[in-house]
Amino acid sequence: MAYRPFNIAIPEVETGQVLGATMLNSYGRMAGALLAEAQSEYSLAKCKNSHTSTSTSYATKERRWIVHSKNTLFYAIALRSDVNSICYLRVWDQTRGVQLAELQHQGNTWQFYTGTVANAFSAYANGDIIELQLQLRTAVSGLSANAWIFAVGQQGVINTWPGVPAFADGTTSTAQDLNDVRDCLLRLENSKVPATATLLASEPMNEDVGDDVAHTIQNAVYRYRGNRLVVFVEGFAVNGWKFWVDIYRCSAPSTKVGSVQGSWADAAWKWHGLDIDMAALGFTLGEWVRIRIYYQRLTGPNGGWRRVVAYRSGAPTPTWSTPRLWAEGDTAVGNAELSKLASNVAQLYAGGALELLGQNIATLAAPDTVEGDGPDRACTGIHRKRWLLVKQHKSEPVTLTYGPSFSLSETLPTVREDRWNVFDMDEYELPYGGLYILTGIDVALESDLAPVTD
Amino acid sequence: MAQSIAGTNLASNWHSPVAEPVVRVYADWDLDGDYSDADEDISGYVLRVSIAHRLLDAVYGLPVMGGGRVSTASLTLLNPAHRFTPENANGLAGTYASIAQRKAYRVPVKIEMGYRDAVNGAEVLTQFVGQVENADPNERAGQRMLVYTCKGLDGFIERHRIYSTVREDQRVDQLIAHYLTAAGLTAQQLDKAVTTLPFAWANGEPLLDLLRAFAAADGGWLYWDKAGVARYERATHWLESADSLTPQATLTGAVATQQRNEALYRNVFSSVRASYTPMAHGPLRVVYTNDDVVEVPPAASTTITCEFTQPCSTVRTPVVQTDYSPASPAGSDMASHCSLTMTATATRAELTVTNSHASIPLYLYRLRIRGYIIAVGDAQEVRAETALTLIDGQRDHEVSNPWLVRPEQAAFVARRMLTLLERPREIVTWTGRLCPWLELGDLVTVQNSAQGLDTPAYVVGLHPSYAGGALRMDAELLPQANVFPGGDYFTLGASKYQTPSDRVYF
Repeated sequence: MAYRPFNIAIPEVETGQVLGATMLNSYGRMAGALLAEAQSEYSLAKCKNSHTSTSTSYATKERRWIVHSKNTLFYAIALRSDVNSICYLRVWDQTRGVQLAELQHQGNTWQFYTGTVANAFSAYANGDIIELQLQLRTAVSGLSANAWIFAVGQQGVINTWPGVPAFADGTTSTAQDLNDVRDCLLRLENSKVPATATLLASEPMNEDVGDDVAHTIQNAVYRYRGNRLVVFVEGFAVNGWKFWVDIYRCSAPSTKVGSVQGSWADAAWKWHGLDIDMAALGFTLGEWVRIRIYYQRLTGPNGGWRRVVAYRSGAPTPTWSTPRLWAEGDTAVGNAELSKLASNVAQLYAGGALELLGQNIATLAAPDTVEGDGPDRACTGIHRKRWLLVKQHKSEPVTLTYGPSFSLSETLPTVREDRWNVFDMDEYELPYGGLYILTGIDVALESDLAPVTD
Repeated sequence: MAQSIAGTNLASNWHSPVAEPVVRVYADWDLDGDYSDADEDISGYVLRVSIAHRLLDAVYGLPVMGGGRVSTASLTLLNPAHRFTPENANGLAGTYASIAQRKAYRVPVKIEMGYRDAVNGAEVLTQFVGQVENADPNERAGQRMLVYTCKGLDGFIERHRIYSTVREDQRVDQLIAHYLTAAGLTAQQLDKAVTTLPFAWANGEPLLDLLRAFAAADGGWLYWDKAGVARYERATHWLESADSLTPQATLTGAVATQQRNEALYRNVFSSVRASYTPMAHGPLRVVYTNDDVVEVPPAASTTITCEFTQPCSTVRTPVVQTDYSPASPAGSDMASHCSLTMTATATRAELTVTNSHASIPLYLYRLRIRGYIIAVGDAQEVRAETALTLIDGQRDHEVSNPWLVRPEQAAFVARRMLTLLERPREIVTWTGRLCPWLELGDLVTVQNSAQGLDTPAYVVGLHPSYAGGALRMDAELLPQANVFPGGDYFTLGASKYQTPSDRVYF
């Protein structure tokens, strides 16, 4: 299901007003757009390996960036410590120089923490770019503290939910009924829909591995939604190569849930993919999932990998009722049609079968200096938002590659290598829902908001 | 919406041949907001009155989207002893500055008309509220008159131009309310619009044009009623208002003096094309660059007007050394002596540069302004085609409105417009005694048995007049048939949820 950003206005109605097809369709379109937001393919986010610290002073382990749109901080992090120490992990707002959250844990088994901090970002205006730092320390010098940072970012909150009305046949209509539906839709749209789209920041590529052992080529996370996970790797090895995907629950980050692999022999660079049935592994809606992707050359000589694409995919769920497309003269304003709308809206809310997962995950660099500075840094992703934000890597050209077999390519006209560059993706041939690769970047993400760039 | 006649006998007196006409005219000479001061009741001097309220578009002769024409009134007064003559210091001009200095320009005027009832006495209703635009003394041998040409309150925002900041995500009626209130027109009765505009701003265009463009973008219209209240009526208003659903008067041949039918085949179209231009929040861009050096004398300020290349949702105040470089004629840095203030709207800014140095002129180099632009997409088109075959070939009507920004909005407007234009529309002009409570948009029944005319029709033009001691009314009427595609529309609060239900509109 392709996703296209929406700009739908739903009118507020009043008693005595004649109902129009345009306004009824706007409810259906908004609900449909929210469904698309929830159900469309979306890229996994890069996740780094677990971090360790033996220092009692906070040290920055990760730098992440986000375009401000929601005030609430969320995190999904696992912690572990030496039994005789305590692990401290804090989320630091580097832009303002303030601590947003601090977690602590004692015990040498991984403990998964998810939570939110209200109003953590209330000092920002929409469109501000915020740098977050994830900092780790231990309570006792020399004893280890470990953190696995799966995701951190912003999340919308729905404080009150008006609930969807019943449209019982034979009862007199009210403006309030439709305004309640509108209210629900707006709350879902305003509070839970991500304003940024994650791109998968690549880890360092390796075009000639020089051995026949397994290499970790990418770690990534996402929140599970039924049911497919698609992974592509660009690789080659004349005498055979394979990649495989190990799958873990973030709540038990050391316990592998499954592993899927494929193998090929290619004399030239080529993309190969795996389409993984995640439902078979027993995941439930909203569960945080970590994957690790490996490359291995079967035998030499030569062989390596370049890019990785990983995205969630899945067929639209059959529980969704296709809303009626209303036209002038329709005489079906009854429970049969209106309850479809109400039912769809209810499913999008928390606890519903199609619940929107509205987190905006702050993005990592690709790769950062710890992972090794290298040429041709890249990220991959599915185009979902209009504005592409890019931090150029040094003065390397930023190249957008997309289209059939990634055969189309353009160099983006970056103007500031030290600052964020903003591109209007509507100016390129890349359709919403299309896969693309960006090279020459340090950090890149997509946003609904054309952000503050200086 | 018809004026209330509760407690009066106007319903019977208006077509009684013996009911005595009453005309009352007031002018607020001292501009204090009421008509209670001495000299402000000028009814005793009235010779003739002619008023026009029209919802009809000048091109199509139909009530199309946006609004009609500005209300007008022509007021002919006896002018004994040059009482109203602006140059006569012995007349009212000697008392009222509004006459002496401005020839009564923008003096508020109210005109009431009605009939004298045998029991209640004079029963009048307001027929016009506006302001004087022009005073024209008409004095010759044997004749001493003065004609005031007046405009409704809408007439005084015809040339009212403003620049504004951007307002985001506002309904059309909210925008209209905002700009009307800012212009001092607070008497408003506005339907809740069905359209929300993502961005809206004023860019120096006449305010009335801007507000009517907003109204048209919602498929509705904006006009001022007889009491001077600004009314925004959405596309479905005539399907909702009780006075547009039930005839408010029967205009019969018994009191009619003239009827004229005018068929308008020339204005029949087979399709309507509406173009729209999407708008979205854009990134920070340089929207103004000054290619010249701005020179500010010592201890002085210079103000420059900066027109932006694109409208901006917000604008940043220029930052020294980033957006401008102040220097002395010798090139030394003058930042510590340079201050800059900016007042910005969506499309322009007034920048005041102050040089605090007592003796050295300041040169401002490379001045630029950055703002978050409103990204306006390419225009796209929506087309509505008629299913009727009343005319040969294809005749397209084009709707162009900068505030059409969404496809569904454009489709709504196109379909609504096509409903009006796909058939020849007959405007019935009825002339007879003044029915004083009628307002634009009211439904009436017009009957003339000789012509075979017996039809409900909407009042789309009203011309109350007084001359020779008689009250008259020319009413332009749009027959109700096919103005909307059907009837029994689903009305919130009245219709029931059921299948089949009442029908939905566009």
